Amino acid sequence: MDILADPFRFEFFRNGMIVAALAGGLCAMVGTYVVLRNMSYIGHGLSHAIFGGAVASFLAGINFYLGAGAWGVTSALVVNRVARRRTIGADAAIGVVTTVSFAVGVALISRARSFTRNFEAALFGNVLGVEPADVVIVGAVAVGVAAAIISFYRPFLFLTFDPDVAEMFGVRTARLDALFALLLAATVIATMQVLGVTLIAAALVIPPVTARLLTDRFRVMLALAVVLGILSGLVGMYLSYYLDIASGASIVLTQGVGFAIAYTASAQRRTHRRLAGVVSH
Amino acid sequence: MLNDTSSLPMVDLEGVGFAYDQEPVLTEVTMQITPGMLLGVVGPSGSGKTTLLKLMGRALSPTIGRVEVSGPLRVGYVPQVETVNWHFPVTVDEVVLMGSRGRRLGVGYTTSERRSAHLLLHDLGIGHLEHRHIRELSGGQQQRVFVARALMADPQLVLLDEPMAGVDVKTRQDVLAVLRALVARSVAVVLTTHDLNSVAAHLPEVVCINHRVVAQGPPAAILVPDVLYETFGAEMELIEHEGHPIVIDKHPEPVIAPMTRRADGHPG
Repeated sequence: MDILADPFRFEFFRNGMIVAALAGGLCAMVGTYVVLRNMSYIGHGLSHAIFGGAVASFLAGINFYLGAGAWGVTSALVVNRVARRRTIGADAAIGVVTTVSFAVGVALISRARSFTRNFEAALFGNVLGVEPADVVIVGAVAVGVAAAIISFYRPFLFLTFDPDVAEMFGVRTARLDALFALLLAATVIATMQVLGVTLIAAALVIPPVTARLLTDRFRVMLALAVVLGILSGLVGMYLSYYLDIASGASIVLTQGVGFAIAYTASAQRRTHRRLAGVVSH
Repeated sequence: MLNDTSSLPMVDLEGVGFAYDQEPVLTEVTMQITPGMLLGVVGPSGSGKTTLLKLMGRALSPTIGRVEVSGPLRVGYVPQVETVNWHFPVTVDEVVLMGSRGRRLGVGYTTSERRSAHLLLHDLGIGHLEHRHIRELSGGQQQRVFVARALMADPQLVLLDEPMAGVDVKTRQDVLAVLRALVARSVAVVLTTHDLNSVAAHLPEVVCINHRVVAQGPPAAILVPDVLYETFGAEMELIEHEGHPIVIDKHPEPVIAPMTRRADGHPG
């Protein structure tokens, strides 16, 4: 038990545990919709896009959350807008908008090399360095996103399953798309300091995909993904502490192990079913 | 005195055209959908049938012309089965409940909504499958799920995109019976179909389209060689059976080469 309790002597670890659990659950919740809409690439792209905003806001002396937030929301809405052009498609739209935005950040850094180190946290995550204010922000975003997803659960489900048809059944698809873009941007911005630009995509995708392997029901998948996200945040923090590796990496590696276990289990279950089918025939 | 609204159009398309990124799909479409109408839309692949349904359902706005709808219109839409994501994690009852226009906020569904979904599935003969994943159903059963979802919306207008494609005869007849029952309750039904003989010929009214309206009217007047040629670009012949036209392909040349006799006198 000492192994579990020991790290809690440190305040930075307590903060880190809370924020890692919140970030893992938050990313998994939004990621469930991202995965099912075949937009897995957007998490990767948006986090890179917001990096450009983070650098620009640092240079301009604007608060990170305000500057990167405005940049992220704008990027998400532009991606959403460009993706509606059928000749371009969502994946190419994400590729164009977000890499250009990331390039802006890289260009600004290369002009002023003196602050390069300040962006290590944004690039690779530094959960052990989070301030109490960061915990409050991640918590507030998690509560806000959860409230929006619970409130609009039904239209969001319809929109995710059948976007072309939902409009005819009275679902305001354009408004919901815009709302989802906002939720996603808020999630990426809030968790960027924790997981890092390069690893947010994994936190958005791996827990939902793992949950998908374990259930055929949407509601169960959503709940399971959040639980897996929280658990991997907690387990990843312990691994980070004891193995002395970057927190973002340890959280994502934990998720990777969870995925491998679920993948093996679901493959075995499928084999059993197939054999049972052969026997019953 | 009661006003007779039965013949007033619920959807009125006038001079409607639509283009996807400058590529015109439909031009100059003028037609009206009235309560209790059962209309079949026939035409070749890519002729604009699905686009027409989506314009009627206001999922698309016309590039030119206007689509007017009388008041708030409840629409039920049945998509082509090929467009459905069968690996999405939803069960049969969850799909049907999507169609409910009840309380929009929150995760759950009301007891009344669940009961309605169950009854609809039961009426369509798949009540016992309501907790199955949609991928586990046969083609005909899958089609019935989406018909149930459309009916869950308590629709005034039902739009069905190729509802009879790839389904067995029993499902085809059952779905047609459901649609006729809706029409008897003054619900308007518009369906697209490739099947001229088993579906279109048995509907009271048919519209032939090929990027524009070629002709509209009862099958006996519309399913004629000239109109079919203009619509499909292929020659077809007609025979009549019990008052219904039967369309058969006219092959200018035999598709299979006639059997040739070998030197020994036996067929080759």
